[in-house]
Amino acid sequence: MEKNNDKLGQKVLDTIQQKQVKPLPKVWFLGKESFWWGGVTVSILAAFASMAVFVFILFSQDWDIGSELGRGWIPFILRVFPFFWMLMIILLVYLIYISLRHTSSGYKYKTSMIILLSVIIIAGVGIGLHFLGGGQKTEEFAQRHMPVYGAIHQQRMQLWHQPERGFLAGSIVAIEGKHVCILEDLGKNIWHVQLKDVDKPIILHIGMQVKVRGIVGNEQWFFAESIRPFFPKRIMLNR
Amino acid sequence: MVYDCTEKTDAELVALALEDQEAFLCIINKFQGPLLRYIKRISGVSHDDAQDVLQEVFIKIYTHLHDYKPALPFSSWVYRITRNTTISYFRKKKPLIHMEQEDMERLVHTIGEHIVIKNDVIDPVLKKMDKKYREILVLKFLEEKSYEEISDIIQKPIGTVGTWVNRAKKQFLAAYKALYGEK
Repeated sequence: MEKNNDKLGQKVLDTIQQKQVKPLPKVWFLGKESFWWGGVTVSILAAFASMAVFVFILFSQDWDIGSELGRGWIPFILRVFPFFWMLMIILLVYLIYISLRHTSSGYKYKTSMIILLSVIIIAGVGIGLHFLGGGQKTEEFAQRHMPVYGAIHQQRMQLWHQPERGFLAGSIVAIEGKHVCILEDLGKNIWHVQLKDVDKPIILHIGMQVKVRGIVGNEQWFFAESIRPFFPKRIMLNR
Repeated sequence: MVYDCTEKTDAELVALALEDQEAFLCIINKFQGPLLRYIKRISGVSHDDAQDVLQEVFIKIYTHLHDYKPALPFSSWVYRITRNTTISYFRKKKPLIHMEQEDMERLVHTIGEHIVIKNDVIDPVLKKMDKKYREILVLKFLEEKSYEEISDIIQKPIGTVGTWVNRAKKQFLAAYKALYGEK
């Protein structure tokens, strides 16, 4: 047996020498480990941002008039619920799990623990980030740089592009006196908005995005009953 | 150069092998016996086939020496490489379930508790078991590894290892009793 052992050992050494086998460099293993930890880090950061947008979208919907806006609750929810960001979060949690599993110590953690902890941390940080304005910033970035998301966002915005049903939204391009502002709607049409009868007046400025409820009048006049900023106010940061 | 391997720790042997290929012989000599047995136990192959796998295992250990981290017992690391290499080596082949007589006796003696197990009928019992549970039985009761070592070898959380060991025992006993009754 001892003789066999020596034979095998020598055979292995001969193969190593003949094939000029060398130990892989340390940097290769360090690179591999860093790659997977990098994957964990990037996925976590992206998940924080996605959660912030998810919460931002939920908070910025008009839940008080959802049924009217969407012609029923189900069509409204289907239109405004941030499915895109929910799927992003699920995908990123999966990437966190996969990346962590590939690290040298990742096998020590239970799947349920990795997923549960990820979701708790992502939810906590994501909500915090939303209140710091991160959700809105990320959403605006996604609108500009992700064509697919831009289309989804437009669908949601179209809910407020129904002037004949009393819903109008857009940017203020001019303010005329105390009770009239000029608004460019989502279809690039110009409207004179009469603000005399709004229930809770707000301070307006040029460039501000608003949602107006009211009645359509003649020749691009819109008689507002209520007006609100397009996005709810952030707690910590201003635009 | 001839090395005196007996006084050296595993970490020292790794450091030596990285400097001089001849020193790798110390690692080979130290582990080839247990690893050859382990390969045969988890794959059920012949001695010659197991030796072919073992050669491949040692080459892999040599190329991956820089990947070894002293935080992990060297033995667990070596077993892990052996397990992974054996699995991929025999991936395309049908899983084998033959076990050495001596191993069967040890296995049934350790798990058997109050029942008298007939050694000549273990193969059908093992055949009925899930592959992962069979492997766990080998590591726990034949290789006599701790839960922590098994966790490092099969790269699963310790909790999962504990659960699998219990399930493997239950599955083994249930399969045995189903085939041969209580006695």
